[in-house]
Amino acid sequence: MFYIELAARNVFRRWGRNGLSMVSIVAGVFVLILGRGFVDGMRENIVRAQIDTASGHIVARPADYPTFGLQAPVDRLLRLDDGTRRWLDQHASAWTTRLVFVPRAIHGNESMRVRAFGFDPATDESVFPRSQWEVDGSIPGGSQDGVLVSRGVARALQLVRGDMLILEARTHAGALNAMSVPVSGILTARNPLIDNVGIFVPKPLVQELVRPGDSFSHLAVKLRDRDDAPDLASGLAQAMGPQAEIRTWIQESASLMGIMDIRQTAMDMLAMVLMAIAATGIANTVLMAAYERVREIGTLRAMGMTRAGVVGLFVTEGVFTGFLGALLGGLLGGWTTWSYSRNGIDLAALIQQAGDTGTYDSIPFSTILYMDFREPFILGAMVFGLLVAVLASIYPAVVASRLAPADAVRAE
Amino acid sequence: MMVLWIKLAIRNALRNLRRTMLPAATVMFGVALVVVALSWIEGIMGDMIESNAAASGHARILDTDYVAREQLQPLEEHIANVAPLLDRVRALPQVLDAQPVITTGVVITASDEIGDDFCVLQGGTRDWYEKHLEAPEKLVAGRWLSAEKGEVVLGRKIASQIHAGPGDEVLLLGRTYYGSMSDTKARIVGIVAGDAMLNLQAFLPLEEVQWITDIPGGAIQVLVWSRGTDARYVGPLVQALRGLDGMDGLVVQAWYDVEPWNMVVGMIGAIKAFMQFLIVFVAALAIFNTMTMSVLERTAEIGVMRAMGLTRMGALGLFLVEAICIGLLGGVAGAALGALPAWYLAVHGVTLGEELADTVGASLPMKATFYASLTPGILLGAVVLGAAIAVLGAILPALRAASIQPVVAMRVRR
Amino acid sequence: MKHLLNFNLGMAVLSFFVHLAAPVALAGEFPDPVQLLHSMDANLQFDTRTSITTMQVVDSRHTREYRMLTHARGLDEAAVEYLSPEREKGTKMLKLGDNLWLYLPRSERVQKISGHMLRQGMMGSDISYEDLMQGTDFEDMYEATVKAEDLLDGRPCWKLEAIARDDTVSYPRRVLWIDEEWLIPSRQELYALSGMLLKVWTMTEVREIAGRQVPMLMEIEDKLKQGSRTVLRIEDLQFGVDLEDEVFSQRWLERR
Repeated sequence: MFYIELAARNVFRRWGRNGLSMVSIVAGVFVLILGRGFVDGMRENIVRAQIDTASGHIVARPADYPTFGLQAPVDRLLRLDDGTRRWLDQHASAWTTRLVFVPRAIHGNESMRVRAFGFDPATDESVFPRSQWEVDGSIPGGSQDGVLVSRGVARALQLVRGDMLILEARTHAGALNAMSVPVSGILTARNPLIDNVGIFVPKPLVQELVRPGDSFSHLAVKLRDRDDAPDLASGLAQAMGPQAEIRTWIQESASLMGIMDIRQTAMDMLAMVLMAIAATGIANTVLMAAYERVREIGTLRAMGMTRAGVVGLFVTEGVFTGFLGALLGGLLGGWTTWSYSRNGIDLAALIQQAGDTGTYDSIPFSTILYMDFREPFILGAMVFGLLVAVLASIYPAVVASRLAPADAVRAE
Repeated sequence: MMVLWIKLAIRNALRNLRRTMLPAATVMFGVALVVVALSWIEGIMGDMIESNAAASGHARILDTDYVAREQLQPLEEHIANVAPLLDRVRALPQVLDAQPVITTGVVITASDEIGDDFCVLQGGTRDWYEKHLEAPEKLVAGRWLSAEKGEVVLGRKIASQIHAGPGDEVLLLGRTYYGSMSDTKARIVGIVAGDAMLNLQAFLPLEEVQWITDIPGGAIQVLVWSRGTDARYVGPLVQALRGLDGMDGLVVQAWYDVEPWNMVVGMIGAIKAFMQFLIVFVAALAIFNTMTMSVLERTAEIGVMRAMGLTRMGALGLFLVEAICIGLLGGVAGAALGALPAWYLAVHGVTLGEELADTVGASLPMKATFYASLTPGILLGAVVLGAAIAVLGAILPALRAASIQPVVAMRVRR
Repeated sequence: MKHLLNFNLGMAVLSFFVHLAAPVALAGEFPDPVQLLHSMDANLQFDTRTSITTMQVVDSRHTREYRMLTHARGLDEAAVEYLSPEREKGTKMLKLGDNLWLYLPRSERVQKISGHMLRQGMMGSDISYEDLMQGTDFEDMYEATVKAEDLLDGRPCWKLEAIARDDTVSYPRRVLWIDEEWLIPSRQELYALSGMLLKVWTMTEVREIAGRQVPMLMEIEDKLKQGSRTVLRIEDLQFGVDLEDEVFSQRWLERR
């Protein structure tokens, strides 16, 4: 108790200097949390791009569905039966169906094949969030609203909002169909899968154009916890039968998972080095404190305090500073990552573009970086910061305790 | 005076070795991290940029209308007679080389049915293939195109897609610039493997593709190389190209103005800057701490020296030099420490796997194995960074020292 | 009975159909559509025909012209050889039933067209290979009704509407103007399921050749894409030419 009182008194006595040393711990913990959030965010970025734009947590698509190139057959589709509905009621936190097809888009004398995402205006956003979307215009909902065109398509066909776009497609059964629809908006989704050749067609319009009835090409499911996906997928596979192929987000992004090992290594390295930096910083501060109070230590030693007592005093002071620093750093880092985990950092905004040179369609991942916010890690970082503070203050404390009482007094 | 400063600073730094070593260690760790991370990023980026420069030049010249609708590959917007343009371009002092290229999509088959397999067909000069693309070095089977007609080299992925290999005959069915059907038959003489883009391409001599597209003597674009990929080479190159005669209706684009590079370069820059900022921040704080203490401790000493005629600038310099000593010490140690893992990564690299490279590499020329690039520039930069951190951290305490009044300083009692 | 109404787009391109004028039995005010179609079929009864046709492909940027020699036998067999321009000379196409082969003289290769390529336009025209492949079972595919008597370019025509019998047929609805005297579909409109007009196909410049009324000019216009159309003009036409069996075989494709 005496130590703590003394330590607390010392900490507050030289508030400026201790504040300074605290800043070093705050910075250490902050950087640790931020760095981890940043690196994890990079990894999460790819996974999220997969989950949020293509697959959800679990996706069902027709068996033998082509997964490369610009092809999306609509002749073999899936349907929801009671078993599937029951499964969805039980396990899904949200789900939606999409019908992907490849119509010819025509404007004036230009035409191109586009990838059309037929979406359900009522449920699509619950599975495929649109927080990264930038829409010049509006997102269509009804059959009269038209279609949302990605900027790649808009550029190639020279479309602006309000233009009439002709879509020519085969129906589910095989007949030719075509419609002239207004462009409700131009979309920048910051995902090359969409931004290059994608358009969004609301379900009522898909109904008129492709006439799939209640069938669809993709069922995308969001779970309460995405880590349940591998366990729950088999249940959905059973419910939907062999005509459907069930894939989890893990399988869908498996090829990208390779990059995670590297990221993991890089992250560990970064964390270790940052902590080493923080540790030397803390040791430095406590050592400063020790040197500064050489006379005081001498007095205490002369008054009969043992060397262990001096060590304890300084370590307690370190712990005190460390605790405050870790707390502050944790809060600061936690808040920062939390806020960036919700809003994301738009890396594109950080970049100066010399004039409007066009788009950045082909970036293999989203240009908005969402940091990864995980409470256990933040807590861990704080404890780690405290631990480092303690360990880092032991050495200078021992140095301080070695100062002989006489030397210490003489240090003047 | 300078010598005195340095002597004094070194003496001060050595006077309390422990106190010097700790911030030096902080700087060391920070600098080591910078060395590893930078060589890693440089390695990956440099690799991609080099692949890109090999495939697309440092700058390219093409028709304005082609650029506007590039997604649709409008072959009709080509450069009809490319030879005079090439002559003019090659005559420029900034230009290392310039090569004409035609790229077009074709249907490809090795069987007697056609219609299901597509690939990107490159029509390039021998010089482009050999000197820039270095394609002959990427062969995994067979050999590169000889002077003989009727030979084709395929990327590995497209070859496996059509189940064909060296010796097999393939038919390439493309279209002329005005939309007519146009074919050529060729025997596969080699298979190349490289980044994902390369793996999906077929390679023919330029003349052959000029025939297919019916653009005799023409090209879609002229790729131009300068002496380096850096903007300080490419910028003047682009300026010079734009100033040429007969550039009406043509545009010149530097590689970093073409997507996705315009984005990627900036993004990597942002990540680098973010990381460096964090490290500089933390390390500078440690130096700040040490120097503040040092200044406090030596207030009396400074006062005496000031009374003895040391100028304000002198006092400032004394502490700054001390900090720089610490920073350089940490910087050199850190560069040495960081060089080890960086060197390891540069030699052995990290393999990501073919599939990933194919997925991500569809838009960037990414390879299956990443190598770091450890250059003297990075090491030197890291040491300088250490010194810069030191100056940054020491500037406030040093200013404080400089503001010490001789009389006040002497009056201070400890 | 297999209905042989030969205004299927593909066959028209390959063989350029021909009709004989023949009286049509009137059922009430309008002729019975089935009978009308049958009458047209009856006029198609010939064995072989050979023609030289030019095809002009027009889009918003280019116009180009091909000259081709066409042999046809019945409705399922057709052989086309390009005569000009120089680049395309010697290129051959052979349709046997539902199969389509291509002979490329430069490569000396015979290729069966399949997959995605079927949807591409032949020589960049508005006629896709798939269009060429379409079956000729018009009556099986469509339910036809005569809607009105109409004037087209001052000539009386029966306006006939054909609705696809099931939803797998590529063109769900066609509207035809059949010339009452010549019994040719002077104009045909192809509609999408939505009712949107996809293509318009007109036949004009009818001339009498060997006692038959033959339209010498056919135009196919893509109504979705501005400025895109294909014009076919018959330059020379002969009936009953003695064609060897070999013409309708893969061997012919490779014959120089």
